[in-house]
Amino acid sequence: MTASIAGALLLIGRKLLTAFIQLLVIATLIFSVMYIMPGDPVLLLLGADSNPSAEAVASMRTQLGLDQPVISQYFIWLWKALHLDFGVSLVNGYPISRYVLANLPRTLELAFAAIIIATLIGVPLGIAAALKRGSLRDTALTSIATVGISVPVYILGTLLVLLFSLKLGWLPASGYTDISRNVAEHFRKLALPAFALGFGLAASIARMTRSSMLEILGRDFVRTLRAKGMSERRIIWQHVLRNAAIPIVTIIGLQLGNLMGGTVLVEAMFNWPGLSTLLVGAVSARNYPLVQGSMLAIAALFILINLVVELLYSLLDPRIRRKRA
Amino acid sequence: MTATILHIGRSQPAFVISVAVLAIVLLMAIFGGSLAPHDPYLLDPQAVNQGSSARHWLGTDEFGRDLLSRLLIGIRPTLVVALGATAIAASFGSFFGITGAYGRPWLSLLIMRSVDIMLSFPPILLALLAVGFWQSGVLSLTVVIGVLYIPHFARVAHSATLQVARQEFMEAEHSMGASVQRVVFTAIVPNILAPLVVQATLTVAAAILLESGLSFLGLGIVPPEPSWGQMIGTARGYLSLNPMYVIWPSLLLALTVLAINVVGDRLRDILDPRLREE
Amino acid sequence: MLEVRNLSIAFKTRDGLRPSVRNIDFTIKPGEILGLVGESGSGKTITSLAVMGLLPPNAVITSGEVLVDGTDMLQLGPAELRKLRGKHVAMVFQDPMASLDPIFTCGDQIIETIRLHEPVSKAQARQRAIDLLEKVRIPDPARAMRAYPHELSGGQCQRIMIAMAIACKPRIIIADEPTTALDVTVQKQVLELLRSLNEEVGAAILLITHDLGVIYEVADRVVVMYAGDKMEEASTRDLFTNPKSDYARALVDSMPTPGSHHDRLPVIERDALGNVRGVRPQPRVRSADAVPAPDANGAPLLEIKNLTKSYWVKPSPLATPVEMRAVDGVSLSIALRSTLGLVGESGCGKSTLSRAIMRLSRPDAGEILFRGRDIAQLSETEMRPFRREIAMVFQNPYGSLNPRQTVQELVEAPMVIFREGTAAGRRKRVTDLLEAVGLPSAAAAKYPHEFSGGQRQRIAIARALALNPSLVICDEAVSALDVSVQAQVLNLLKDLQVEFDLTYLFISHDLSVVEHISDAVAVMQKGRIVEYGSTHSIFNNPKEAYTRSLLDAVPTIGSERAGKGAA
Repeated sequence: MTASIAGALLLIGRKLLTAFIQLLVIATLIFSVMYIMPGDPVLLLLGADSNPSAEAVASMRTQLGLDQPVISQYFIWLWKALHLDFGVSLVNGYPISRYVLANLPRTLELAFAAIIIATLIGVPLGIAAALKRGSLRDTALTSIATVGISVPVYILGTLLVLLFSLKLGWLPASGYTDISRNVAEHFRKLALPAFALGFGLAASIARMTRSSMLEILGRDFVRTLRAKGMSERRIIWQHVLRNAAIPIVTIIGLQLGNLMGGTVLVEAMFNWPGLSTLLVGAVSARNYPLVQGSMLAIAALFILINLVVELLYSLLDPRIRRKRA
Repeated sequence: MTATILHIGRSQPAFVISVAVLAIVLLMAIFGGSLAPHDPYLLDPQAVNQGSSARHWLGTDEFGRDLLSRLLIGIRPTLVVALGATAIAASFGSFFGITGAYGRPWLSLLIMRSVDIMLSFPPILLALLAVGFWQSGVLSLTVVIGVLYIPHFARVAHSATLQVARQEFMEAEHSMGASVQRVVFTAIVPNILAPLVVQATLTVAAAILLESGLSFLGLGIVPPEPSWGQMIGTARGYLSLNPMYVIWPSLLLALTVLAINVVGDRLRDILDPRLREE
Repeated sequence: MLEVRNLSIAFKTRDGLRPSVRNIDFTIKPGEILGLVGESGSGKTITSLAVMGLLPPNAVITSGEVLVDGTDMLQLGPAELRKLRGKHVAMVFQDPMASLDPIFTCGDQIIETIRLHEPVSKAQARQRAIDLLEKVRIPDPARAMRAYPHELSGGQCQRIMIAMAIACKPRIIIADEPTTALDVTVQKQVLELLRSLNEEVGAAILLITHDLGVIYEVADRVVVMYAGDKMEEASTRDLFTNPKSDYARALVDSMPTPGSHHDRLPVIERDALGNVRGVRPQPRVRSADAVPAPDANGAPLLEIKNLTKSYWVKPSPLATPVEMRAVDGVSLSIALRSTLGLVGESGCGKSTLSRAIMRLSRPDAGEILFRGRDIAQLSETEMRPFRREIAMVFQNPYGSLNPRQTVQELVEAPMVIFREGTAAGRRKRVTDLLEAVGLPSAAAAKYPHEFSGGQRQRIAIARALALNPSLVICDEAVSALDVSVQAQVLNLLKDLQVEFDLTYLFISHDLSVVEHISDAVAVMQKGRIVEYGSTHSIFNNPKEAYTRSLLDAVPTIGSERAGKGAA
């Protein structure tokens, strides 16, 4: 027993280490991409039109630490980033970390709402299709799922707004209300973006659930269970589903990239003040430190969710949990 | 031959319709300009945000430009970007994937670790960064999206090659003293082609979505040149004024991606050796 | 008691029903073991699945009855059928690892079986499960209860399957190829277990196998099937001493059996009327211009001295890697135009050894002298001339041929690699080679999937001979083939040895095959050669305990049955 706990701790430790290295590499990547990108933040900050004097430029450069060699710039940046200090906004001088910390929970909330919606829709539909393979129900569900993965999130979002806000007037078209101010309004504004984001994911989860159910149903051990005299219902709920859960969790994990990508579009179109809105705004304004800070935060969030999925995955599969000694 | 086609037509209606849709989209991309009933760039302040009419079949946009004409030419940049990006991703990705599976251990480790890290980041964010700071336009979008999908191809090629490498015929090739080129081109490539073709269809669809997403945000194809994604993005500002403005490009875009996905699914079924052996 | 009457099964295809089993009858009495033997495609597995009501959806029963103690299983509804399955009729499958649910512990799966049919508490069921594991003689039952299937060996998994099958004291146990995936020594233990449980529990056992040796070891009576038809039903003793049907006789004859050293094995042929019989082909006549007859006493073609190859494995994720010596100081030599048989159980290092000789891997130490020249540490470029001289035939006739190449491209590959001959010349050579291995020249344009397993192995052999090599390494080259096909390929190998002046290194886990084809034999265990000598001395006078245990484990046909079995 203690051995398996030690093994689990070891596994978590290794995953944490991998995640940290991943984050470090991404941070380096972000720093170097920003460094080679054209445009001078100093000129931007001082306003290129106002034709700033050489002294002003030089002093600003010193102030931002840009006169130092690249390597030391990098390490200073990295050291500060480790302490959640991403510098200040070039636009108004506010600390970036304050923006990031304010917006991060909102993106997280949106993503989680989407995952929950997607799982609640996708898994039951996938099971329903797999259990009646080849039937009309299967064909209908599979077709809907194919449509679901094909409709871009911003088209779906637009159509949802058109229908539920403009035509029916049930839900607000966009915006954000803090949960502390008005709980009902908060969730009413969450509904459309979360559903728009979750629908495509629901479709791919349904497809994956269906195909892994079918794959598991064809395995030898299912035949053993039938030969033992177990009822079909119990075979499916107790054995097939638990085996199928492993690939389903994997697909949810693999789809996270698309989900995080989707938040960029969804946040923009629903004016959801999350990390992506921050990032898109920063890119348009060429607000370099804010771009770096929000990118890093998104990467960290993504790696974190991935970590959770991987741990969940090894919890489900004894073959990974207990690597043969 | 005709009988086979008829048989496919009857048993796979969705597949046949999808192929037809893709053929039409391709024709639009090639001949769209000459089919357009109006000059797609001609401003008409008198006819702004109109619905369907005899003169403008699908209505007009916020500058009074003819929607049908703009839709007809709006697929070309998207398709050029998607196909170009897929070509870049497929060639480099396959190369890296095969090298990662078949090359020296340190090289494989380097390649596959980099692939893992690149995969752990949503493509649209990197694209946003690159396009936002660098420049938009067909060429840069093609290169950026192509590079972003290299790791996806590399991973597919890598796992397919590993599967092939476990087969005994690979050992047979080595035991006969086959050169690396021979092993790669006669043993590996023909045997990993199926998953790569499927991945290519997926990548075309993903690249279309990515390009149109960026254009939707106003960071992709630069106006006044139209693209469907960009038209949807603009039309969102006029949802209550002219709802059909957003419907038309959305419908076309969704239909195109759907057709690609249906064809991709079918290709996977046909090419999957496990399904074929039965 | 199980009675199968006039059972016919067909598969639904696009062109209507394709019969797969025709009018099969047999009866098993309590306490009896009935063997159902046949080659692949004979319909034996489908028959067993029909008895359990587990046929795949595309199979239909066209006629017949399956009576279990008088009740026709085929007439029962799903719920009634379920009550019988597991409780009354239990089944043991071929691949034990895949037949257990990977994410439940073995203990839980046995407990579940008991509680499906009997209203006992979890604790009681657990105690019974432990008792069952003791009964099937699993070492450390408490650990096996906690273990997941992947943490146990194949033999142990099969014991779990058997424990599960006998959990509810069934009247009938159907065992479908229960030992095929296991090593000989493990196979022997599992068969003994089945036999003793059968005596203890008194169940009727239907044992399905392709292996006549297994039948000989444990079955009381045998039903022989061929292509969906029952060819013969007889007591085991009668079948082996006095087979009545032509097919059964041919089948018994075509097994290479220790002690009966024939030059050619009889093969099974089917004439135009569909009648099956055994034919013992004559050795092919040597062409007049060939070199003189083989001599087994000349200078060795291949000599291996102290060859060592290790792998570094981590016993646990963070532990320091430990050295696993797959090949440990092996020394051997093979005389020109002779055959050395190398036997051992799975994991003994015989494949690592063959790959090292083939220089698919670089040995850690030792010498591989080919015609006196050490090739052990040569670079790939220096190795190139030797690749003409050494060819290899692999185990899996489905995996060793690139599915995307035609037979022409496959067979001419060595010539293309060595840039030999013109395209026309190579075509001619391929035709000649195909003829030599007994394939029509029209085969050249086809793809491998259009051929049967035996034919594919012929293609692989033709490819191996393309550059007139002197040494051919056959790594389990006939292991994946049915007995009668195996006989054909063994005959072919013998013919070709004479015709092409070949020296063979013949690697196999099957002792009877090795005895049939080899001049000398080396027995390998845990990376070492434990015994090495002439075929005659190894098989008639084994000195090492391990060799004796291997020989004992081989089901021997021809000796008397008395004294075998339960004891």
